Amino acid sequence: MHLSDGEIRAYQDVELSPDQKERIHAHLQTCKRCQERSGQLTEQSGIVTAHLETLKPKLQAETISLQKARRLMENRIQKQEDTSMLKKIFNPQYRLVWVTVLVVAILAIALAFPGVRAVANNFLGSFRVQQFTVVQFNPEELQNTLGSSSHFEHMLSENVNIEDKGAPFEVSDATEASAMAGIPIRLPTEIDSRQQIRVFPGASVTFDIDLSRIDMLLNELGKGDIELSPKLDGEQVTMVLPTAVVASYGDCNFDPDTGEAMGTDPDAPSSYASDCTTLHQMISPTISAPPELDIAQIGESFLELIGMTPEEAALFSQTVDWTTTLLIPIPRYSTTYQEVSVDGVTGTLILQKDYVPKYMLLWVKEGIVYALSGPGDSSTALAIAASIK
Amino acid sequence: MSAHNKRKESPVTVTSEDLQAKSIRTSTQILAFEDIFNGHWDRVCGVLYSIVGEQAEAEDLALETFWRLYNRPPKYDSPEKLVGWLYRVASNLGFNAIRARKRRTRYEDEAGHMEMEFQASTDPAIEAERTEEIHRVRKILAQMKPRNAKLLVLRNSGFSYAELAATLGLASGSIGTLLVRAESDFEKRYRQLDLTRLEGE
Repeated sequence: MHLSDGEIRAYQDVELSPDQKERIHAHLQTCKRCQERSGQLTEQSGIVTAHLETLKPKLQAETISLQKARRLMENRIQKQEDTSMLKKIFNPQYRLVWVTVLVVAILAIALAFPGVRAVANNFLGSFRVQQFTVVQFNPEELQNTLGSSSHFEHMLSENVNIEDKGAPFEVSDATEASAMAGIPIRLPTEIDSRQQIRVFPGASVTFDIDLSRIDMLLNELGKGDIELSPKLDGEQVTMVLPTAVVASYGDCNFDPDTGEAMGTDPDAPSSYASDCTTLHQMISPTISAPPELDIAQIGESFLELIGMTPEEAALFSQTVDWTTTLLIPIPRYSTTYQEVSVDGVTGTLILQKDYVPKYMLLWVKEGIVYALSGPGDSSTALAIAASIK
Repeated sequence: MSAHNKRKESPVTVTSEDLQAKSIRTSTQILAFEDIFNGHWDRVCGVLYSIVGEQAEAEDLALETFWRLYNRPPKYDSPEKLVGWLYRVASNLGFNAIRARKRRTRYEDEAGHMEMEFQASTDPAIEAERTEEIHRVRKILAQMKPRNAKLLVLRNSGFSYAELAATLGLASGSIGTLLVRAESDFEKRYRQLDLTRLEGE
């Protein structure tokens, strides 16, 4: 048996245990072929090292002192603590939350639309999500509209307050998770990979209505002709997100920085094919808003913002009960959706034709929101959903 | 009207004591953030400099790396794995930065633009050659499979096999094999680039 390239290389780099070292040393003494290969590898390594050497800093003086580095670090922490709330909104861990936050943020824009048709009674004041409706939009357009708006950014960072009740943590089983979330946690049985259950303590999202800022934002969006109801200024819209439980299966990388997971086959096909299935469950979130707020009007404005014409929005709006429906915006391209029967209720199945096909299945049952997502098609989704116990 | 707007209270100033007081927990021990910072700042900067080639940017990315450790430290059962994580984050940030830069400066790149970072030297011809070489090496690293590029840069920054394994999440027994493969890939690409360059002239 000849030596492998890896063995030769580790021998050259003095990275072997004494036993291994001796074995390889002895082999190299007698085997001409391995000697030759060893020579080739030394040469290759020498060439590459010479190229890479040029990347090293030439002057030692270029590096800063540790003391200065510490000061920079202190400043950096300072700066980041001021803005981390904004960052958090866009953290993938909060994806489900993000959708709802977006809705709240959109309320702000919509608020300003004319004729805050005074709602006679208070029943709109607080509503609970009972169903989902999907609406397609063109992500690039939305990005163009809002991405270029500095007022929108300021509004997110200054008028939207997220108060969360702690960092997510792992629990060992459904019983423990149920106790934490206060709902009976159910888990799928049709998945045969490593299960991890994490509890995301709830959060409340508060939006302070600041009419002057909304005014500026509207002007920026070209809707400056709109009349505002002064009654709303200083009022708050609050969304309470109860504790959520996320069960994940397979290779779920929650931290985008960790790169390839420990122990994976380095030469397996690329990690694009993320093999991660998750099931979120939580008590349906509630939103409280001042009674002057016309939810349907807000809904329609939101639809316009994501690219519908006012007529289309009005038409769509008639089909939706805004007091109980959470609108899920999905990209117009490469994504399809359909209503399906799941868990004894009607759910919404969203399919994404990505590099790897993915699904997201949403439903609400007995006041609990379920969101199942992972790689696969409708049959995968429904089979897993059917196995939830 | 914005009187109604509830602003956050002015933030507390971060001081040296905060760096000292911050502790990073592994599941078996507690490490002081400050010790990790003091012990690894120079090396993290060095690795990032090798990747991005600009001191200011390297420092910026190093700060980002340590910020992440400070803010959301990962929970590993050993300090080695924690340090591995630190360099994994650093090298990911570094390579992401040059890939983003590559997209931005594609036009300049094609027009033969080069950053003149080393003007301090005596002979301009030698310096121009050196700058071009750096440019070429970085271009190749950016094209390579990220894991291979990281292996080469980190190895060249003096990482042992065990450190490479902890940083890149690999078995230490596979490092030798992967290094040979990465070097061979680098050399092939370098020759290819030389060839296209000669043809282009």
